[in-house]
Amino acid sequence: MTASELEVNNPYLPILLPIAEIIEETRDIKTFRLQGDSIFSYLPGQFAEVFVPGKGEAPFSITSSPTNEGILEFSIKKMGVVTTALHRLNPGEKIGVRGPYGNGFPLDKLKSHNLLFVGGGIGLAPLRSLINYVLSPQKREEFAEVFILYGARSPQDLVFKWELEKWEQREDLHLLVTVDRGDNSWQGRVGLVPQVLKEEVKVEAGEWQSIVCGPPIMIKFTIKALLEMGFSPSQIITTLEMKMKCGLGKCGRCNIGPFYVCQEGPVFSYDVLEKLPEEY
Amino acid sequence: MSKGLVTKEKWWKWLEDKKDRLFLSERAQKRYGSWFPPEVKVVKNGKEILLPSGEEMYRYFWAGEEWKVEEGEVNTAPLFFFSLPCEARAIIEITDKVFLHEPIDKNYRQRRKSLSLGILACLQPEPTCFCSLVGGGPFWKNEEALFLVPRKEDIYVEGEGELLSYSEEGGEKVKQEIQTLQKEVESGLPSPLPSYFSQELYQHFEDEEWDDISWHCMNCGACTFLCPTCYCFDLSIEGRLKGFQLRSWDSCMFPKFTLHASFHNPRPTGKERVRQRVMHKFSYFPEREGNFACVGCGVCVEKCPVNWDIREAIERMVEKIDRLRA
Repeated sequence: MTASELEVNNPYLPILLPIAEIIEETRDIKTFRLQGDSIFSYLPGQFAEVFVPGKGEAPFSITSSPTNEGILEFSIKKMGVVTTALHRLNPGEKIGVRGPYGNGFPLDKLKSHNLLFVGGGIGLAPLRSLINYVLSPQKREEFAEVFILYGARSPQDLVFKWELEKWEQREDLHLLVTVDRGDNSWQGRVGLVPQVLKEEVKVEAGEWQSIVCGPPIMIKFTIKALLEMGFSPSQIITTLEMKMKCGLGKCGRCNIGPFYVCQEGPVFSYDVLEKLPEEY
Repeated sequence: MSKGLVTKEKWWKWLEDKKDRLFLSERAQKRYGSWFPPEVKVVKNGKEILLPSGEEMYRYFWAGEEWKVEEGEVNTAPLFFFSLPCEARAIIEITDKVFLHEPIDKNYRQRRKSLSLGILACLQPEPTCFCSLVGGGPFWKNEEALFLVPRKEDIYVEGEGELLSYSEEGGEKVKQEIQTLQKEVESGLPSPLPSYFSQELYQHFEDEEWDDISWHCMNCGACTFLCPTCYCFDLSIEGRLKGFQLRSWDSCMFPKFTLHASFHNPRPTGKERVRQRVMHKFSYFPEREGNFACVGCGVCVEKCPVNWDIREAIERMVEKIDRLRA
């Protein structure tokens, strides 16, 4: 049996790919870029299981855009055994990936709308996949205005600074960056994301779709703020995190009510989410 | 499908070349052990055969220059598993639906394809049994499995395959006898849960009743490990330069089952975990797959170290739902 037949047959078997590049985003977040012919096709908002030989496996959202063909990127915060092992790797070393899993962002629903992205901390990672998809030359015309509000705890915790600069220079989007607490060199905005959202983002909710991702507490208050701004629950889209093992809807731990986050999620529209038990 | 009677002699003859490929459930052994040879492997339930705990999903190794991965091997020799109706139902109506639906679990499918099921009628339901409550019964059968009623000197058989060629026509008399037996066994068993139960139960997710229901459960997980339908598993990596991905049984009763790397836990206490177990079996799974993920075998009731009784939880919720509907 050849390797490719195995990949199709056994859903648990990862594809091994070399790390092409590692970008240090913050003191504890690195972006891993994988490159290769055998990279699977995926949608913005989907995730994959990443395997570090001899260490373990964990799910991560894909942060690259599928419009950037042959590239697969994960931005990973050092938290536990697998992520610490990942942070110790060098370019050229191989890691395993299997996927993609999950539903991804509802592209059809978002098309021709104005898009408001609200990200907090590492929560920008899944949004970035969609942002770069929307901003890509081949897709940009399919979407209307783009507004990005991004915040982190401190200036050191902002991820993708190199890309924020690129976005800043574009004329077809608005970018607001804020931090909870500044430092001596920080000249930008200081304020919590939901607060900045209410005070500085003046949009007519009717024509917008909002896409939110960040720490649970930030998501909670951002949704509240959006509702106050006139967004309806179906205009608020968020992507959730749950403990996962298989990614296939079988291992039994990532459900919220009858929905498996790895299958029917991780992207949920708030009108669906608000009806689910608050067990996430 | 054919029906017939197989004499003791012929039954043993049929078993002759299958001795080393026979599995029998522990509970079926208690009742029908004498019908099987000493070589038969006794298992707690079908999970031990189809989802063996400690299964290799794939291997990996350092090949000097780079890492390699390769698939584990699955034994595909034809096997026979004889069990009570509830235990067979756990396979056909629960684990098959999870592991044979897309994306198909290859290891499970390979094992399942080589496994033939034999259902032994349950002639003495135990005080802890409640199969009829959840849509089963002591004479539950399925077209893909042999159905057997062992009697004094022969076995009544329904199904397809080689065993039927050893059978003789039983005639009207035998048919009557089996029907009478079934009636006898089934009399007095509780009637099925109301059809609206799954949906209504979900509406009671926030009910304070769960505090009380979950109160004396220790979250030890014994019920989930012994349950023929509980299939939740963990995946872990074992070994450094050479190793494998290991699948082992896991339990929704354990706090670490849902613990995030950030230490956030969506099911932090026993209450959420007990509710999850009951909800998954009686609401979420039925919503997705059309039947309860509980076969009423009562093993969890029988083996619980603190006598936590899932029937009581169900009864209380039924009562509550009915009170509100009235």
